[in-house]
This record gives sequence, structure tokens and C-alpha cells, in this order.
Amino acid sequence: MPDAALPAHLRDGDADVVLSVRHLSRTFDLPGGQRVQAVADVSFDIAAGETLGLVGESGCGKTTVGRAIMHLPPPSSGEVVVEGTPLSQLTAESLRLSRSRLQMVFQDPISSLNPMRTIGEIVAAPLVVAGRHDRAAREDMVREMLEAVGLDPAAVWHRRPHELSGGQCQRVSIARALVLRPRLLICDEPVSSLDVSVQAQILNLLEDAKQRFGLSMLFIAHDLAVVKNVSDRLAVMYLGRICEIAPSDRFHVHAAHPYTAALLAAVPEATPQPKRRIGRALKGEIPSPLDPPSGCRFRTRCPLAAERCAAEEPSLRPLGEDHYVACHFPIARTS
Amino acid sequence: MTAPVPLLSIRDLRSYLRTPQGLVRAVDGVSLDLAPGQTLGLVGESGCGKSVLARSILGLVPDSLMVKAGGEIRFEGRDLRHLQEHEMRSVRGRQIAMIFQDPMTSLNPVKRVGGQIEQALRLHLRFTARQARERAVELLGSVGIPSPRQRAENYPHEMSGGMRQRVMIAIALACDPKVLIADEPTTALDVTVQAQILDLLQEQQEKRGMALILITHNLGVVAGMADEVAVMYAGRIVEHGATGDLLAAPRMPYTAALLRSVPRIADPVHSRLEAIGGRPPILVDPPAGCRFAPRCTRADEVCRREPPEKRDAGTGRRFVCWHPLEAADA
Amino acid sequence: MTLPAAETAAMRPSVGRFRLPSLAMSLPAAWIVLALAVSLAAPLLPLPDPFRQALLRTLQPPSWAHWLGTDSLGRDVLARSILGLRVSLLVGVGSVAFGLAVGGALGLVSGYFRSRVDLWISAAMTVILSFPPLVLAIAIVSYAGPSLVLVIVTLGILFVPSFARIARANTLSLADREFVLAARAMGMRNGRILAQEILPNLAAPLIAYSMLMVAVAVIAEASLSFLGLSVPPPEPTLGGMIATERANLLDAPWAVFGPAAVLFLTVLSLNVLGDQVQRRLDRREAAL
Repeated sequence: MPDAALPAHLRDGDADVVLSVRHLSRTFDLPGGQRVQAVADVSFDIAAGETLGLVGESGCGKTTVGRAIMHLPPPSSGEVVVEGTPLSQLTAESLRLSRSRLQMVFQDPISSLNPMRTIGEIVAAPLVVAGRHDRAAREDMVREMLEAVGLDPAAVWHRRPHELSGGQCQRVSIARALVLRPRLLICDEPVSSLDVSVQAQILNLLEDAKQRFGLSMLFIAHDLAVVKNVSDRLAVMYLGRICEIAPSDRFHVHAAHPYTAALLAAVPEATPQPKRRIGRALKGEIPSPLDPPSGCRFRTRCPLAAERCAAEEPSLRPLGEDHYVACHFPIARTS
Repeated sequence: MTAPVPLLSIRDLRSYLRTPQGLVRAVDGVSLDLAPGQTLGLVGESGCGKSVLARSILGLVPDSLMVKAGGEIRFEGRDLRHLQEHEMRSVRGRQIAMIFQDPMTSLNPVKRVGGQIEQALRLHLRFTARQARERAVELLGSVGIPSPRQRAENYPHEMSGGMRQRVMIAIALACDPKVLIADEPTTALDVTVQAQILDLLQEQQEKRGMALILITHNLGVVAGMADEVAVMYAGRIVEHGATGDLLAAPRMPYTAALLRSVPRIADPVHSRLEAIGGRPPILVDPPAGCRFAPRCTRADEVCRREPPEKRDAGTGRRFVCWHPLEAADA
Repeated sequence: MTLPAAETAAMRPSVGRFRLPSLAMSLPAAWIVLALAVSLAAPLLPLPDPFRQALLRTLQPPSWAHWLGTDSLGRDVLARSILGLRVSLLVGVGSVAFGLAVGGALGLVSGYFRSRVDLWISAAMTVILSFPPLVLAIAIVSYAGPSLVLVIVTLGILFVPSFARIARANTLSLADREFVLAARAMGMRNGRILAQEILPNLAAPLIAYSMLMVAVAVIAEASLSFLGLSVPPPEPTLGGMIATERANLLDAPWAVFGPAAVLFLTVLSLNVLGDQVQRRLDRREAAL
């Protein structure tokens, strides 16, 4: 495995890389004997202090990637390397101990907290499990973290999750994830379930936390505008594969993959504009992951599809500085 | 220029609901007009009362929940609130149709989708079984479902979210209604599917000359679709105007704050979003003055004490605020 | 311009606020409390001896000396009913406790670990469910002879599959919730997850179910004792009393209605109370 060619866009050998995901695949067995490949050969890395955005629509596998990185459960094949250590080479016990380095924030704020426990207990739980601190030290750390996420410790300590709002619960969730001072925070749709006016609060909080605690982040979401604003680099996924990966500010200017272009065109912008012109929307539906199209998976909906696209699956190839596209006919940049 | 006679005219509508937490003033004095063929966007966050408003128009709020209702809803001259139930039934689905957010729960899971469309046709238009079947297939095709004759035999769970939403639109359009109320029709859908569905709604609306009330929390969705936008907060309309005008120069601070708190693709990376502090109000005990005052950066004593009056800025532009933003500010 | 007040200023009030219990809850609760108190304190109460026969005063109607009259052997019906109720409650609570402990544990393990463990446990539960309950009870009692402990254990075993099923269903849905995933993500061991994350959330639905099952157990015991398969005489049982005095129904209805009324009121109270608890739990679940 270490000898297999690494994809061009991995910055290997760079000591700054916190997370390196190589040829990650995840296959699910369905009742009835069928197998679904939710994630196929995904590779990327994240440097220290960097945020990588992972964007895609339903069924693209982005949530599965997040869970596979956490080894909850481990991927079907491929390697996850955290700060130089491949996770697959760890014993079950050392894997459990290494969990403090990677933490996750989930989509539904209410269901990510145990309804029967108090906020104080919930945020302290990772410390208790790690077993490294005594009670007084734990209380201090929990208090500090609750303040860091904008909650008043005295007010919320003894409350239960159902007494807090969605935004407050998400803050608690973030506090819990950060209390062990992880190196990498995986955010899986952290604002999708929140009200619009609360989303901005939480996004600002995540940015602040990243600066304050020196985090690297993997930000998974379906809302392109949200992800783009928060990320340094963006990877777009479709049906289990990465189609395009580039610095975020490049996307607005040059979306090379037809799917990325379609995503950008579909995002509704709250600016004065003439009435929509019918017919520009991307046609068709996402094919079933049980039976993906041959060759390029996007070809059934791609306006630029040609014969080669059905025969040969494109791999990620460099297009410009730090810009990689998996397409036989990438869209050229219009200057 | 004389204004067109409104198709739907709502005046001071009130719906107060009974909940375990107390009396909720979900709709607290809403007035709106809808002209034939016009698209009105109704924008607000969750809990602002927009869904209750939609259901109140069609009398779909259960009596057990409704404590007090007030105001009038004039549709083609008749006040819907004073209709008998059997008269109202002939309005629902036939003159005014509605589609909802989650097509999975809005469609009957144990009935084939073709059958659900036929049901509407036979009920309102007295089609025979064969006529209804043919028309149902036709409708499925017109909403962009490929192989409609086969698809008519599918159950809802055999279809994707986008397809199900198309089926719901087909059911709503079956009797050629004059008004379509779409309550968050694309919120549960992927963004590319959302674009398809919005295209479909626009296309059908233009083809049939139908009026559309598009309810959503996403200002971007109404931007390219609506002629006018009404922004709702805590049971009241706080700003109303032509879409382009309102988006370019909002007068009410809530609208402006809402526009600034949403990230845009064109923004530079890592731009700080202007969050609105606090959280949406719980309508059990609304504050005395302006309902947005607790979260407003421009609020003062007057705002907290007195509910602001409606201001008219001409050409259909209305807002409710003591200290509106100047047209030049935004 | 000052920033708006921090959002912690306004907390959503707790949904589980204490409200005065409705009549639907307080009446049945009162009966249950009375029943428990009276059956526990039975030896201390100033009642006529339930075992003393008075063959000259059989089938006497209710009077000051005997509040519910006497039966065909002159024994006080009220005192016997109270003792019978004690047996019923012991069997009811005991068998449900057994089913809850064993079935709950099996369902919890089954729902959390799934795969082969789930397969084996589910198979075992199916086997138990396949036994016709009454036939099994008759077989066990005929083989081993009737006794209180045996009745409790037999019914308990029969209840294990229902508790296992409820525990498993709830565990399956809980184990998929994100807070359990978060617990695994912080490195919590399975044992701790089961104890701290899953079990406290199982308590509510299991308790509601248990109350309804006690009612079922009480009726089951009454059926068994009616057939003479429960605790043997001279210990009075509600079902046994009804069986023995059936023949005198027309002459001395009180001898049958006494134990029957006690049985009826107890089962009714348990059902109503269990239903009310279930509703409150459903409401709380919906509010989350």
C-alpha cells in the first residue's frame, strides 16, 4: 500500500500535514446481498491551521468520509494518517486513546446530547473518559470551555439539553468536542439544522475557536456559500468521488468541473436580479449508488459528456496552482 | 395606473393557538394582497408564523388548536373565514392549492402516486376513472417526470425527494387552481434539485397564469422568483415591497440583518458574518413594543414600549419600524 | 449602540414542569397506594382472622363484624381478599421485576451489539414466545408443585420476551443517535456507554411498560389461582376465592364480588396509571 502512487494533490512529506486520507473507500452491505460503495478512492490532506471544506449533495458520501476518518466504523479500504500515525496500525486500545486528537461536531444539536444528562456532565465526559485530570481541574476546564463558546457556565451547568435552544445545544456540542484540545475538528453539517439568524453565530464561533485553539478543520456541508466562506480549500464530491479540489477563492472565479459549475449556478443569491430564466438548471437526478454510471459518474447529467466519459473514469489531475479536477473536458477559465 | 383587483385580499388576519406552553399569537394582524398571476414571496425564520398563516388561509388549522381567529380573507370577493366547511372544501385544491415541505409525509405512503392525483380529479372535477387516469399521466409528464405511465404506478417511497415534490405539484395543479401556496417547497431538497423545482413552479405559473405564494426562510429563493416580498417576524409582516427594491435597500433592520447574516459565494473567504444576537422569539409572551427590539442594534426605549406603526414609502413599499434604515444606508 | 443581550438571558422553561396531577392520575394512584399499604400491613390490621372457620356463620351478608360478609366456610371475606391481594401484588411486581431485569438486559445487549448476539437472543425469545403460556404454567406447576416463588419465576420467564423486545427496539434507535456516536468518538468504552448513555434513556419507556405489565401479571395470577395452579390453600388468592365461591353466587354474591371487585379496581388502576405515564412520556419525547 505505501508503494501505490499517491494522488498528485497530496502534499506528502510536508511535516505540517495534520490529516492525510489516502484511497479511502467505504462499502456497505445491504440486506438482500447488495453492496453500495458510498465512498470510492477519496484522498486529501489537511495542513495545520487549515480548513478543508467538503461539499456535495445527498448521497455523495461526505458524511461517510467524516465517519470513516474517525474510524466509526473504520473504512473498508484506504488509510487515514493522523499526525504521521496510520490509524489502521493502532491496536483497539491505542485507537481509543488517540481519539482525543480528532473530534467531531454533528448536525442535529439536540440529538447529539444525551437528554438525561446535564450540560456540565456532558462537556466533562471526554475528560472523565481520558482520566487524566482530577475533579477540580475538570470543572475548571469545562467552565473555561463553556465561556469560550459563549455560554454562561452558571446558567447552563445543571440544565438538560431540552431546556436549551438549538443554537445553545450546538455550542455545548462544540465545547464538548474542544475540551480535549484536539488537533482536528470534523464538523458534519453543523449549521444545517439551525435557524438562519443562529447559523451566523455558530459559524463565527467556529472561526473564533479555530484561531484560539489552533485547530485544523474538515467542514462538511451541502450549502456551498457556507462552506466556501469558512474554508481555505474546497473539495467537491459527487456520488462517492472527489470531482474538484482547489483553494476556496478559486471556485467563484474558475469552476472547472461541470458539476461544480452547476452547483454554483444553482445556489440562490439574495441580490436583486431579473426573474430566473427557465432551463439553466442541471437536468436529471443523482443516479443510484447501487448502480453508478460507467466511466465518469457525472456523465448522465453532464452537458459536456462525450464517448470518452463513458469509457474511462477520470482521475484528479492538476489544472493550475493547487487546483485539481477529475474531468476529461474541464471548463476552461474565462479571463 | 389603476392597481389590478386583488385575487386574494387578507386584512388583519389573526390566528391564536393553544399550546401546552400557553397562548401563542402565531399570526397577529397580517394584511396582504395577491394579484392574479403574481408571485408573492413570504420570508421568515422558523416560528415566525408563516406556516400557520398559510394554513389559516385554507382553514387547515384544527379547531382544537385555534383559540381565536380574526380578520378577513377575501378570495374573489368572498370571505373564506365565513364559509361553511363544505363550501371551503370546494375551494381547497380546486381554487387554492397548497404544497408542503416534506413530500414524504405529505403523500399517502400506501397509495400509488397516480391514484393520488386521480383522487383530486375525481373529487373536484368529477372525472371518470379512465379520464382521471389519462389526465394523471399527462400531469406527471408535464411536471417533468420521465416515463409517466410507469411512474404513476410507483409508491412514494420508490421515488426520490425531487420526484415526490413533482408529484405533489402535479396533485396541486390537477384542478388548475388560481392560487398555489408553496410552503417551503424546496427546503428539504438538494440545491440542484431545488433549482429544477423552482424552474418548474415558474414555468407552470406562467403557463397557467396562476398566482403563487412562495413561503421560505431563504431570501435567495425569492430573489429570482417573486414580484413582491413580505418579510414576517413574530407573527407580523415587518416589511413588504417589490423584490429588487427590498433586497437592494431594506428599510427594516431585521431584513437588513437577515441579508447580512447569510454568507454569499462572492464574499471573500473567512469574511465575518454579521450574526443577529439572541434568538427567535417565543410567541407565548410577546414583548410589549416592537417584537424585534430585544435583538435590534438600533432599538431604544420607544421601540421597547410602543409597537411601531406601519409606514408607507409609496409604490407598495411598507415597513413597520420606529427607526428604519434610510434608503441610502443599506 | 449596545449589542443585544446575551441569549442565555432567556432560557426555555423546562418541559418537565411539575403540574398538579389530574384526577385520572390521582385516583388510581391512591388505590394502588392503599392496596400496597394495606397488603403490607395486613398482619397488623384489626381484621378478623382470615383462616378461622366458623361453620355456624357461613355465607353471612356484609355487617359491622364482617365488612364484606363471610364465605362458605364462615371466613371473613375482606381479610381474605386483602391477603389475596397481597399474593397478587407480590406475583405482579415480582414477575415483572424478573422480566424487566432479565428481558431488559437481553434487549439492551441485543440492540446495541447486534450481529450474532442479536440473532441468538432473538431466537431464544422466539422460542419462549412460542410456548402457549397457560400450558407451560400448568406443566411447570404440575411437575414441581405450586408455590409462590415458582409462580413468580414462571410468569417472569414468560414476560422476558416482551421486555426484551421493547428494550431492543428502544436501544436500536438510541444507539443510532448522535450522542452515542459522540461517546464513542471520545473513546468511551462500550460498558460505560451502555450504563451512562443508553440505560438512563431506556428507563422511561421501560417503566411505563412495566406498569401495564403488572396489570397483566395480576390477571395472569388470578387466572392461575382460579385454576388452582397458584399458591396452594390455605393461603387465600383472589382467583381461588372466586373459584370456590362460584357455586354460591346467587345466595351470597358478596363472597365472589368481594375478591372480584378488589381485583378489578387494582387492574383498572394499574392500567389507567400506566396509560397516563405513557402519555406523559410520549409528550416529553415529542417536545424534544
